[in-house]
Amino acid sequence: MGKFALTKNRIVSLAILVVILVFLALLPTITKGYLVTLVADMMRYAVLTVAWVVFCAPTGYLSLATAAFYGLGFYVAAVFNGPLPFAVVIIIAGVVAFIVALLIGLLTLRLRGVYFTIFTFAVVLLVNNVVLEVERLVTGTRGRFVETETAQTAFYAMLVVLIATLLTAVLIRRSRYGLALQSIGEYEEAAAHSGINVVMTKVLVFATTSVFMGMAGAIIATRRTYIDPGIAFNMTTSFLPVLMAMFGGMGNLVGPVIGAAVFTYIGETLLTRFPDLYMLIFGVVLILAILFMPAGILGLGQQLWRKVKGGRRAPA
Amino acid sequence: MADEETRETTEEGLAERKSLSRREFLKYAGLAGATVAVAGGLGGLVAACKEEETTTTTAGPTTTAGPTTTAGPTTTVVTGPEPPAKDKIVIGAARPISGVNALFEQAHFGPAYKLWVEDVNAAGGLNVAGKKMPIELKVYDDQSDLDTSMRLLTKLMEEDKVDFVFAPCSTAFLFAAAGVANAHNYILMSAEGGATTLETEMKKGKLPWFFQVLNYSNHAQMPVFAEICKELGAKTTSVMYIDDLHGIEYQSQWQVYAASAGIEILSNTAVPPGIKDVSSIIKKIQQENPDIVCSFQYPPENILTIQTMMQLNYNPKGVLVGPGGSTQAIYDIFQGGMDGCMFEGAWSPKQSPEVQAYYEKLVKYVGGKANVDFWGPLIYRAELEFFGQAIEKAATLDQAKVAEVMRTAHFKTIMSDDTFFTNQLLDVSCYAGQIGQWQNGFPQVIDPGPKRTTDKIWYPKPTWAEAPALATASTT
Repeated sequence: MGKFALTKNRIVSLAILVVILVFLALLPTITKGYLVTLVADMMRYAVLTVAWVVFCAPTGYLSLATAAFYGLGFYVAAVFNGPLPFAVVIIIAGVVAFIVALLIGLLTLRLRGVYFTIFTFAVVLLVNNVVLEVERLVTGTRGRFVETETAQTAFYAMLVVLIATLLTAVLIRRSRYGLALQSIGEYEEAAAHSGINVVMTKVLVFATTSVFMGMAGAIIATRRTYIDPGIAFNMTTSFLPVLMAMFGGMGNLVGPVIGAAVFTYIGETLLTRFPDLYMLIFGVVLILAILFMPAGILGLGQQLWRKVKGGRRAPA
Repeated sequence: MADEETRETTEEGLAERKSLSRREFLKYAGLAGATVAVAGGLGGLVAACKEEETTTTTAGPTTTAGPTTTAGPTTTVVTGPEPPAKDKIVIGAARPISGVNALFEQAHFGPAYKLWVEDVNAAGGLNVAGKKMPIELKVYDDQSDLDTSMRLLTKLMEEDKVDFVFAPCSTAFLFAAAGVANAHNYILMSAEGGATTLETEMKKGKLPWFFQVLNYSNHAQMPVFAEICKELGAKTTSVMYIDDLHGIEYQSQWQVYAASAGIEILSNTAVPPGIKDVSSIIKKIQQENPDIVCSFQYPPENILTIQTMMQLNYNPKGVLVGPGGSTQAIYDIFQGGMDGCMFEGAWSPKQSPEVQAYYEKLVKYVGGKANVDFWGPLIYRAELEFFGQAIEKAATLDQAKVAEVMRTAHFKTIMSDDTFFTNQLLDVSCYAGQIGQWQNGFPQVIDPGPKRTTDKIWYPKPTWAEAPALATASTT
């Protein structure tokens, strides 16, 4: 193991992280208003985006299966919340998502490129329809009521899941699995020939990141009262993390978090303040972001920072 | 490990590995401390804003109920409830201005609430404890997305602190919104949507703030349809239903009431939403030769079903068309071909001069007859009239007091002289009708009893080929 050196940048980063976490932990005690709901929503998307980035960014595999695992979390909450404690429900949602992702991964992760993307897109439709048919044939209904939790409970649960997602992401990236994923992304055949168990690595990381998607779904479901397959397996949930990751930048784990938060906030502001121009402005913002910020907000920030730093040093 | 260090450096770009002097450490620690202080300050600011908002947006009356504890003698003059301090009533809604449900905002509850607000404001506003208060609408676009809808509804209640909210669109959204309204102690009257499953939640006492207005399967469309079929002497039926909450509920309720009316269900076929070809299903039904075909589907599937029956020249004696069958637009698509088709709804401009006047006003407002639906709009108008009267009677904007009036009061509305809720469901007696039938291009209520607006139910219905000629003859 390498030593964890306390550098200037690390101390600043850690300090900022601690401040953010303290602020988040205190937020529901400071205000019980809408801000709690909005920040919980940002954290939800941060969980989904970080979980998506951990597997997809290094490998270059574009997964659209997020909605499947997230939706399963919805159904786990609908079935178990109430009879079982909320924390247990969240864990079950993670386990269910892991098992399903493992099965899907074993089937799909031998596919590559656009075939993998199309398959993961189809997985959402498949899971959606399986749930539809089970409901139709077994229960004879559509949709379920969910035992709700308070906004504060959901907020703290999401905060814990976000921290767990970030920690897992850091551990994966620093582990040999992280290196293996990068190798796979750069040249899969070479990675295989160098001794990496390509399929196992992909399946394991894919399933691990799905755990957090399932957990996020279980938490959000408890704020919805009622769910049905159309709500749970909404394809938008698969597309948004991709856009948020591009928007924030995929170079490290801060980018996706910033992307999720800024993307959610911009969307919210435009939708409520400029409802008629929402789609137009949002579309323009996205196009500009893709054209002029290929490395996302974080990439742009780093570029500017380097320029500022460089500018200072230049005269010397 | 050296490799890993190198990788991190190139990846992050910013990490410079320098040892840290004590002075530098103290500098950064101080910086972190200052940031914590700023964050804390921001938190405090948020809290302060929250408190300020709470104190400035009090909606209810400012009368003090408890005894005063001041030392000196106090004289209290009872003059009735004081009017709210504010000058207008703000009603919020998260509605589908865009997305798949946008049609409902354009032609269903949307025109109903906008027209009502216009009418109320034209009369100077609602009279709340002697003070005329106009209504201001704050409507967000939920993009027909449930997550967005619930977030915006929460925003309306928590951040915008609107006085009341209107319901979002569709049954699933309504179910979810009922929970949100419940958590915030806001009254929620349904608009487009409603289902039997909500009743069980209401009976459990889980939704004390929810009021169901629109009629649905067992409340009381299928019971009335069964009575009509019995009256017509129908003995058999075949069913097509959309494979979702709506379709499943309607077909299951129809099974119950058809059985009670002695009607045999020959087939019961689930149809996936968005289906593009129903000819095999129609051919199968044609072979079964039922008296009545029930199509519990959505407008696109219902249009396809009618079209296919026409193409196959299949003319059952009776056809019940689900959502969309009550719209003038679908009638117009088939240019009279739908004459004789029954639909879920239902109201008719013929019912009273007031209804006729409202119909004309609505036609003008929505830009033509084609945009009028003969299921919900009259019910929505009645619910809004009821709501306005409940606020006036409660003489306050306090949710609990208005809700209490709504639970117990009876008001005259455009739909019924005696409009009231029973267990938070609009009483069945209040509806203008449950089942309608197109006759010569005109919607008629065909419920048994005094609500029927026509002398005779067309049964068997005219063939698809005959009907347009009948419609043309009636208009010329």
